[in-house]
Amino acid sequence: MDFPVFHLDFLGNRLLIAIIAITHVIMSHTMAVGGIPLITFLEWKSYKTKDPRWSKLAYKILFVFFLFTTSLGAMTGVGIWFSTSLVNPTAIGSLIRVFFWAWFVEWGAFVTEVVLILCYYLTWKKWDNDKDKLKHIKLGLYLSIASWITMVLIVAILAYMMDVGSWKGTHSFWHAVFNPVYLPQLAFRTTWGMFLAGGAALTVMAFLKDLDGEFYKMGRKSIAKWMLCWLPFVFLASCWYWSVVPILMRENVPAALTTQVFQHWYQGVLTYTFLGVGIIVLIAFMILNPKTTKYINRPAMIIPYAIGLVLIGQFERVREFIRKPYAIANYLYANTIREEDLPLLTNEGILKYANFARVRKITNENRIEAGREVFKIACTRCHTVSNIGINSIQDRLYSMFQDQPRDGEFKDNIEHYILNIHQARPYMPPFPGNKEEARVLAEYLAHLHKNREELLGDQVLGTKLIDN
Amino acid sequence: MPQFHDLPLPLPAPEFLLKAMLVIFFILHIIFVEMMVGATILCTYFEWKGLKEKNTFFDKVAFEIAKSITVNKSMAVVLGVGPLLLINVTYTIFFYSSSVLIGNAWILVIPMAISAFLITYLHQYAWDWFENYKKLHVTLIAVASLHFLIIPFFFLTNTNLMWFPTVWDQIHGFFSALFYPNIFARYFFFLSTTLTVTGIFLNWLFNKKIKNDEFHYPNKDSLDNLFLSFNRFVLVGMFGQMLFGSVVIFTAQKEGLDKNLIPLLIGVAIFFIPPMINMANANLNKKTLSDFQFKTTVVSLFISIIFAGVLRHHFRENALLPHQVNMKKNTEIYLEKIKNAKKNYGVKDYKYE
Ligand code: HEC
Repeated sequence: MDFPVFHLDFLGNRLLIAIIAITHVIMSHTMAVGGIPLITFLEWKSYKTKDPRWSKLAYKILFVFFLFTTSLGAMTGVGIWFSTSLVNPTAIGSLIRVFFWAWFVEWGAFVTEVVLILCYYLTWKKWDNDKDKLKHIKLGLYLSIASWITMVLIVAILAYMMDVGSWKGTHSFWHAVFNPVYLPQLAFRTTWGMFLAGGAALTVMAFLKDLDGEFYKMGRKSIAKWMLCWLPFVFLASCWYWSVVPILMRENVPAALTTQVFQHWYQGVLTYTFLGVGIIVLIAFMILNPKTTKYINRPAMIIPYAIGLVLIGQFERVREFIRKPYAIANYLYANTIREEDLPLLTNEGILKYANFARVRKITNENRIEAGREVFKIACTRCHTVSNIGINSIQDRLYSMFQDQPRDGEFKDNIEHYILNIHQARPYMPPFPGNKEEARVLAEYLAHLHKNREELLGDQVLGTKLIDN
Repeated sequence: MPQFHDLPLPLPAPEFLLKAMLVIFFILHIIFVEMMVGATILCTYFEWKGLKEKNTFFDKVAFEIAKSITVNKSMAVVLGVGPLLLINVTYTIFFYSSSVLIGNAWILVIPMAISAFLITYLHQYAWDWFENYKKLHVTLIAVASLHFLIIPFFFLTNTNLMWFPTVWDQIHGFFSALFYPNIFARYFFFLSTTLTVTGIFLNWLFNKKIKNDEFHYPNKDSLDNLFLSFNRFVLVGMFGQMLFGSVVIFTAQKEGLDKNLIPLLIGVAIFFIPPMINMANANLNKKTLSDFQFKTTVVSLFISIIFAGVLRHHFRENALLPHQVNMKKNTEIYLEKIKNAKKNYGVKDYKYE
């Protein structure tokens, strides 16, 4: 409510962020945090065994990782900022105010990482001799550390969004950083990144043509071993992370609901994860076993990474789910409203205090417009209006009321629902306006039934500046 | 005057420090951006020239330039994150609001930059593969150049819009904001600076390559001509900077102007003179720059750019000052109201039961 409202009525705003963020997570975890150590390991193998073929293989994998991380990876990182600052500027703006120095240091690490990867990549051929090889391997080691440090810092921020811990009372930077989810999540991301880097490398190998057959098998074997070595750590870190997730969940929502909605879905995620990891491990073992290795042909080498990508997408969804109804736990709701503002807004009205509301006073003439405005401020971060949009409010209402007439009784019901929306469905934040605003919102929702409309964001409609 | 309140969280550092960092890091970022954009455009130029004149020397020049894009673009992106962070934190309300108001165009920056980067990679790393499809190959890098020529409009429009909240209610999307005064003048000023900076960069790059024996040329003549063309780019760029710089100043919105800009402007101009003399000299006498001339040009131009950066910042501060004062007042009032509301109405527990 502090900013004009960016809204995509078909895609939904959250999906925009999700697409960009998940792409970034995939690139950064598997090709940088996990990928660079794997490449350095292969390079070291070349040094130790004096077999230059390892170095050649490592370089080819690095080439692909380099292309992707420095274009798609880097720009989706910036894209997370762009998209979140459009969709929930209050959230990202608040986070930056609290975490500025962490982010600033993170930027330093990020600059270091980019400089190092440029050096690492561009000096490979020049330093590919007995004299300089060890120096180059050390460079890879430093790059691995720098990549990991960027993750160490950014995960602190992500973890804080899920649970602000004792920050809320103290507003202290260190309390915010060392909140209870931090270390488990860091371990979780690190080990999965290492594990799936193997999947990414196998995928690259699936497309490599000019390695001799015998070495090709050795290379795959080595990567499969890498994955299996990380597997126990993946398991431990996942258990640790998984064990703190429901505690968090219970803080926001009572156990009854956890069992009802979440548990079901949570079980699903667990099952799929075990199944997915099972397949990956099976493929790794088949590569290792001389009897079965021939069954893993090139297309099959892509499977572990493909599964990994789906799983990463799921994990990010879990994180997203846990946060609801908050964007920053116990401080800011997903619809950009601060919890501490509620006493004011629910009594005196949100239209009065929102920076960019088009309607300040509700009159008999502007009730629909006012309702639309309230909807825009309070509901559009999660709902679309167009009936083909994602999580469309028209759809939701239809599934609740079907063709029941949208008359006075309906409006009373909806008004009541809105005022208790956080009780009806705890993943939704409390309604941030007063009674009259709940009423006009109900009237707007009734109006939608007959007048199928689309809601355009302020990036198309523009804004109005009215004194409050 | 539009009324807003700020986020109710304190700034993480003294405002002055944040703003000083913003100016400095932005300059570093924009210099790499200019080298990236300029190199892409000039790479297109040289490759096309080589193709047209059937001269493989220019093709080799184009290839060397193409290789530089990888480094410059990575540095440009990563150095952009710092100023982005700083502008986010110092001008939160203004920057995010203007971003939202041109939101569709703003988010396009991301896919467009990704696409441009991937095309430059394809262009560079598949150079040999395209040996027999040279026209297609030039088209690739031309398309990348086109990306880089469009993206600056998004940034210029957003920053311009952010400085003038009073016009926000006249904006209906990106195109209505694009034609506000000053944007096109600033765009051509940016392109001129790009030419200047890239010309100087190529001067340095090819000197270094020749010194390290990494670039082979058929004869001394063609090499001298190459450096002459770099110097011509620089001189043309500098004339463009003077021309469009003046247009920028004369079309600047009056909200941002005050007397303090004059000494800054003089600073920009004074440090612009030595490079101008050096480049005019080199072009008129068809000579390459001496080591000393090159160094003075770079240092002096850099100081001039710093003055320009401070000038730009000062203009922004002037334009936003009344809004910031007002916002500060509004924020205090708002916080007071929140406190009173808690007292008067009580705090409800919204926990799910
Ligand atoms: C934090 C995001 C969020 C916000 C903000 C939000 N909702 Fe929802 N809402 C949801 C989700 C998620 C669902 C469930 C979708 C599903 O069942 O797949 C939902 C479902 C609904 C339903 C259907 C409930 C049911 O029992 O089937 C209604 C009605 C609804 N929302 C109205 C609103 C209104 C009105 C607002 C604004 C005051 C709002 N929501 C704000 C996330 C949100």
